[in-house]
Amino acid sequence: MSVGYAVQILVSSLAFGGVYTLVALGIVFIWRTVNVLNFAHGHLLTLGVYLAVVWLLRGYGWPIWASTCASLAILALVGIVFSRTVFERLRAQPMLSKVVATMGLGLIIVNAIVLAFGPRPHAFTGFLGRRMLWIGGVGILAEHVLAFGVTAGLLLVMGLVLRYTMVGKIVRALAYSPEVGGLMGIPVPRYLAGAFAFAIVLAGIAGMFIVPVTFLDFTLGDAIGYKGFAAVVVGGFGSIPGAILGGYVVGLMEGLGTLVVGSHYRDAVAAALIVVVLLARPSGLLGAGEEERL
Amino acid sequence: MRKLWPRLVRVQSLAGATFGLAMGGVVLVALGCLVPFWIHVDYYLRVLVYAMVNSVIALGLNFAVGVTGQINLGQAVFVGLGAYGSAILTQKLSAPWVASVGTAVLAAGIMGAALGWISNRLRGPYLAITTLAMNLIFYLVASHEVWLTGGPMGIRIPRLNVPRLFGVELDVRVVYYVVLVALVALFLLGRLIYHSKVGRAFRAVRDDETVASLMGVNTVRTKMWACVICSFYGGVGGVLYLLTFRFVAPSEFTALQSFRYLAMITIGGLGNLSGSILGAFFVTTVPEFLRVVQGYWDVILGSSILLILLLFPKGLGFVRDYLSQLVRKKEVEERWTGEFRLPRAS
Amino acid sequence: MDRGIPSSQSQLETPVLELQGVTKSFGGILAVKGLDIVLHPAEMVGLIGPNGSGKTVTVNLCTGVYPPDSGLIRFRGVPIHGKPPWEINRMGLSRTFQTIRLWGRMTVLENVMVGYVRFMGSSFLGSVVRAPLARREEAKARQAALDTLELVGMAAFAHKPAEDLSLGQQRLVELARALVSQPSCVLLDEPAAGLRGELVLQLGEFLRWLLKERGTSFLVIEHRIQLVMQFCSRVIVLNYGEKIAEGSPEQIRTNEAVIAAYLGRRRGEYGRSPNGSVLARDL
Repeated sequence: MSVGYAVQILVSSLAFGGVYTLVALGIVFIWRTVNVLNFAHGHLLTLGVYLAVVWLLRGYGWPIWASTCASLAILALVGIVFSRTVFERLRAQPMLSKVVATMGLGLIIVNAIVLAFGPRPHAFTGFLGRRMLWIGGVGILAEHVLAFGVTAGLLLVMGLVLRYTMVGKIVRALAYSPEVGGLMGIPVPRYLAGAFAFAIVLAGIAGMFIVPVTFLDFTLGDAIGYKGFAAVVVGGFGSIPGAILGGYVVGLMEGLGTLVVGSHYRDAVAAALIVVVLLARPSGLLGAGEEERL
Repeated sequence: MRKLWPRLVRVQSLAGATFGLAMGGVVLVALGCLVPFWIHVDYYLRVLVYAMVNSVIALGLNFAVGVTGQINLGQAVFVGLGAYGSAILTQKLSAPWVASVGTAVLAAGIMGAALGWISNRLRGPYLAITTLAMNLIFYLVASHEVWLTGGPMGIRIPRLNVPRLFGVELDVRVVYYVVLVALVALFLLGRLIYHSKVGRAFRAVRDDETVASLMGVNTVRTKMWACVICSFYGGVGGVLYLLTFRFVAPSEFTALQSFRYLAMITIGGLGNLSGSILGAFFVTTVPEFLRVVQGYWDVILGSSILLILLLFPKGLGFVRDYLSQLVRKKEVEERWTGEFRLPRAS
Repeated sequence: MDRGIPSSQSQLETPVLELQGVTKSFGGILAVKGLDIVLHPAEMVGLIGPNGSGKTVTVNLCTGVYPPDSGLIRFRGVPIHGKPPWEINRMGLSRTFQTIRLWGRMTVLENVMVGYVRFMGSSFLGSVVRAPLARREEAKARQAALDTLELVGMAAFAHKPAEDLSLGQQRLVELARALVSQPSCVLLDEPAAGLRGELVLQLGEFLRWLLKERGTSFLVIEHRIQLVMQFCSRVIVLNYGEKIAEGSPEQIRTNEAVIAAYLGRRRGEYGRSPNGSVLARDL
């Protein structure tokens, strides 16, 4: 294996890893605030890409940037509506009810996509097409660099917002205890809806970078959802730094794993990673064990 | 006859049912026996059989999820092991039918024990994700290992090799009765488990696992049994599925299918055994009534799940609870004065 | 016992429950430090102390919720630290909880019947197919549960879901669940919280009756000092996870360290109290 090939795999793995990180961050965000495993996360991502690429870009000829922004806005709206109408009422219910609710949402989205856009897969070359960057004689897809840069920028901004702004502080407080937040006079439902919408927007952005590599079709959400969960699990459930680390670990493992077991089982790498990590170290790489309270 | 009656009453009271409800069940089963005489289109009969097969699977899932509180997003794996196991053994190895079925159900049971082991190491969200990953791995193996599973085209069992039951050709009418008997038997078994010492331990673990262990319940073994029961029902369901359709393919054992099973028990009410059957019939048969809008069915299913969750958090099984309240004698409630009653003698 | 712990009981008798130098910390914070407790048969001992002094942690350690970091816990002479909770319960050590924890969706009777599980040895298959042994056990469990519910005056509610009861009623059901298997020792974590005034005294009388009739030992954590002072033969006081005093209710009432702890003086000031020799090493 030449050095150039190795570098290419490394870069594309990092680009994928960044994308998985965004998905995983969204899942962690929803888990920490709304306290539900969002099994519709991948499907919401798919919906966003369909809206941007197939509906606005192909259908109406909008520029790619405008259609992306519009689809993210629609995703945020879907998130807010779903959070206010469904999650708000299921807050007191057992976790399973909420899980089934998100799966129901996923089912609705997938089939709505098929009904609206048909089951045919679509291709999308990304924001920058096939343009290559040549660094020291090694060719790298510019799209990958962009993905990496956008991810890093988003992570930085998010970290700063969470740490230094009032909104960030409130969200962090709610992650510890929505009940206490409510007692402190915070309009909890509004913030939870906001957090849910934000998490979905992250997924939407991730989707725009993942689709140029895979095809866009309605089953995309399943595969991406798995990988997001794998990243979350690897990093330790509910840990934000863990999700970031986990995303990159999953990306790299997938890059390497594909070389070993073949591309048939590309999607199984993430699933196997989940099982192995959970059995070997249930609290993940950066997670801490929970103490039983009595 | 005079002696038989009290015995019957005692048997039904062992399974924890009120007399009226038990009679209702008997009437339902009797009606079920007559259905093949009314429905002459094999296709519709097969839909009903499929609903009953799903009822068996949902019953098992309810034991792990609804009764014991161990989330399982991979019930399709157990069903797949039951169906694929018996298909592979009879078709590829020409093993006798009984042995294949036994082995397949055993395989599902062993996988269930593995799940039980995992559920003793992992809780809540971790367990959910692990079971989902198990389902994905199963699906990928079933679609890619063509030499074993026939790949995406699956395994078809030709007419000739279909097992004979007491020399009777197993057409859909006979299968209907086989599945009906299995469902009734497994439902009664489920009730026996639910109202036994083990069933109480299940529910104690669901409501508060730590306290259950502190009150003397071996929670490790209890969760193990719950998962084994779940997988056993799933495996049997898989065998019945094969019997009904004589065909298995990976597309029947996806995570989506596991979700449908979950939807059945959620619609029927978590922990509500008869509700599982109601839910299975709802999810299986309603699409057939809605054939005009076939493409929309999954959207309708998703929406109706959301609606039921929001409107009836305890599931449609509340109908049964309501009926049993009508049937049950009104208890004369003693006024609670709140006092300890020490025996006067000491 | 060679440690010569002061006790009104005979020194030859094996203690029901014995803690020796038990220490437990959570994330670097010491919850219990070098704790020695001895509980004799048919004895009611009060365990008091300010909030966060480690009382509930002590109960959790004894019942196996988590293992101690160091130290010995013996139940009737057998070491139990590190054993799973159900094994400890099945040896005859039961408990109640500070915040009521019944299994809400099960009936009151079922709740109490689960508490009887240590006498039910039938196999999984046996109990499912209702084998004769299982059926006898089931009948015995039912009778024991009804009898115990009758004792605490809750028999009329046997078939109600536990979550439908008031908090006071749930407290009594929890007591019945802990007592149904006739354990030789029961750790009661605030048993009187949520009970009406006259019921608190009745509870004391009830526990004293059990102690005399069945020889049950009780370790009672209670904030209602009245119950502890009136019914316990001995009182142990914890503060910051350490035993600061032990003795008869009268001795405790006048103990300066105890008064200081309850009045909320700072940790370092104990040393200055005249009777604070036990606390000196804390400085």
